[in-house]
Amino acid sequence: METINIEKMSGMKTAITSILALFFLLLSISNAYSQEEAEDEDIDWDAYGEVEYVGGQTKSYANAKIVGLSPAKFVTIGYEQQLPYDVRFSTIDKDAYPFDQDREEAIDDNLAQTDRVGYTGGLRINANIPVISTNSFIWQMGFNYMQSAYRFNEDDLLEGGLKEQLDGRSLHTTGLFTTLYKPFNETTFMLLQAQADMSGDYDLSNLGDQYLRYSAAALFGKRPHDRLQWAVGLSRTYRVGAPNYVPIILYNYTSPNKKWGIEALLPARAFYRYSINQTNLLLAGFELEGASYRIGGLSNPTAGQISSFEIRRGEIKARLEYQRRLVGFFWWSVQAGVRIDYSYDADYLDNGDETLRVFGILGDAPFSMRNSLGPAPYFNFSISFVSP
Amino acid sequence: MKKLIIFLLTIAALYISEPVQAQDAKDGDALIGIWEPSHGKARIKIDKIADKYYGRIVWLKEPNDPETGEPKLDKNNPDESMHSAPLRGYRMLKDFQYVGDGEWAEGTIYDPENGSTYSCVIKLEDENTLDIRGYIGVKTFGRSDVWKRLILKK
Repeated sequence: METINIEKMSGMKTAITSILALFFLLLSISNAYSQEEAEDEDIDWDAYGEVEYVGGQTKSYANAKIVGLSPAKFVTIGYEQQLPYDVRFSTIDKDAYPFDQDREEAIDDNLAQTDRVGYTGGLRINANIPVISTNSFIWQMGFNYMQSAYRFNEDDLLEGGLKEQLDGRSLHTTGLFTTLYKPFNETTFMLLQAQADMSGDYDLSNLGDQYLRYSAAALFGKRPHDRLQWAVGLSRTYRVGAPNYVPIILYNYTSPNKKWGIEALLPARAFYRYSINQTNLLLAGFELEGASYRIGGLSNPTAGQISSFEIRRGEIKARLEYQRRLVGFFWWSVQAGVRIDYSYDADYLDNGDETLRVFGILGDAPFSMRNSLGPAPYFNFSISFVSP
Repeated sequence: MKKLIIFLLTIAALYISEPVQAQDAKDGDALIGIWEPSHGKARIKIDKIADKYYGRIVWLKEPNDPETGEPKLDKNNPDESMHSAPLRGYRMLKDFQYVGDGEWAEGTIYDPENGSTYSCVIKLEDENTLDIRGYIGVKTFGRSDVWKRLILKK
């Protein structure tokens, strides 16, 4: 009897299993049919032009980018090196060199050192992390690090002075920055950036706020269409070495065929862009780069005071750059060009008081040292994690 | 007998869980419809195929390429074989699965402007508003947009 029951139950189980299998088979056929139907349906595309906004009309804002721009970099790690060049340093004499005196003449009259720098180079890291990134507001926080290590040739008999401070050592710039992008409507936007950098010959043992420098920029602009974006504003910058207040102009443009364009933030940089295709592009132009570096060994701190010897380094880099996608969202870039000295003069600051020297218009403070660097070919190689 | 009891219990569990799954499917289907991104240059129709959600471009504000006068093609796609595919009808949202709490994940979004495909997560802000975030690797490296629901005029 029990055997019969087991057999019956076994038969019932088989029947239920078969029914379920048939059901799932029919269901999968039905799904496949639906999918095929969705693929091949005869769509009346024009119908989608006549719509009602049940959730309210979409609100358009000016996009932070335009089409065709070189990829925005989230994280970049690179290495840069200048080929050998000549340097000429004057004597160090507090406020001894008038603002309007010709630099070469000042050095000739007060020459302290000449030499050839065999190596200048170092690591560069930049990170730009979105904190909030929506169509109506963008807030990014960033980190940057730039190293310039120096190695002088050994043929100069003169020792001491600035050479001794630089030879075999590094100047560093380590900074944090924040950027806010706020579009007001479809075409108008505002861009704010603030940055705090520590620049000088510090190491971890003597890092302090005596190396701290602040810069900022504010821009107001328009994005008339997807291929053009411009803005005007004002910045406080150390790009020419000493602190400066300069008007700035942002101009980004892409041609109608999207093959070429302009990427400029004047006077800091301007590039002509040629897109070979979506993953290869060339940039040709210049960048103005600089910082004010505190040299600890020449600074004379006294009790309760911060005195600072500052190299006002400003360089124009004329270059050709090739960017190419490596894999996925990783791109590599190689730059080659010439580094042209704009400023390598120095100031001696008492009590941390800054020297105002806005192209001689709003200030014409004298220098404490005048220096010149010969032009140097340079190259840069970097890998970036980007947003195309 | 023991096997039969386990089998029946399994069937019973399936019956009990069915309403929950049905409710999930119903909630997930809130994504189905026609949506417009904030830039207003395209409209996307989201459908369900099997248990996943896909979105096709069904309307373009500027349907023709200004250079050629012909319908826009997917010429920025890194896959060259796609360069002749028309953008209208292109499936730019793929493989979204409903994960509960008004959120769809595991999908991708394609940006025809630069030919890039991003990871993507979609949240239902209200029944007619989507928060859609495309990102690279982790959600930090991304950007959100607001899409609004449309219905066809009769």
